[in-house]
Amino acid sequence: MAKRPPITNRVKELREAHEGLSQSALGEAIGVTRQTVIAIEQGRYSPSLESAFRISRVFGVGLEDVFGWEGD
Amino acid sequence: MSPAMRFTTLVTLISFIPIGWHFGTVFELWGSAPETRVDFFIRIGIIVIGSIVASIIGAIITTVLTGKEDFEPDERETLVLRKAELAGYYSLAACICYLMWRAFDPLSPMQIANALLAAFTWSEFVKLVAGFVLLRRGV
Repeated sequence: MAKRPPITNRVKELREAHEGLSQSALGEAIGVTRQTVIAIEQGRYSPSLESAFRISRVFGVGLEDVFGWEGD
Repeated sequence: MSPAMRFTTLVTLISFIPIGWHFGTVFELWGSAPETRVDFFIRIGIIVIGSIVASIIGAIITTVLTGKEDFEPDERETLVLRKAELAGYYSLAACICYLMWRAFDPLSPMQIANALLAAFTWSEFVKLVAGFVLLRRGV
């Protein structure tokens, strides 16, 4: 298995809290496919800085409220 | 894996079946190799035209099913494609090294030409499989 990036995220949690925003809708909002959103949620892919900012903007929170460093 | 990418992978994998069969005959693993230059070019022609037709059909199916006219990879897919391409280049380099190692073996011009074609085909196959694995496993 590929080594997972040491970046944690709360995308799934925030998405569900955000009126049950679907993975497709989030993907469309940030310009990636649903599969990429799934990969981000499962920690299999760390998004680019641009996408990370887009995600935090969608949820109306700061970048560090969505992403964190493992162990912090 | 996006539907567009899934179809592209599927169509390419299907096109490897006749190509694999051809190389199998040339390297005497099964069937009979083309005996004349004309036979060889007819066979290669059929395979190439067949692959192009399959790609066109695949693109039409993708467009109909996904509603998107072209396949635009997102950032993750782009990264996967780049890594897969790199794997393809490495495998091509390995094949070339192997062919250089066998340069003094008594091979017919037909086998040498096909060995080169097989090396390029193999690198494409590795690229495809690496892309598939990386998409499933993560990058």
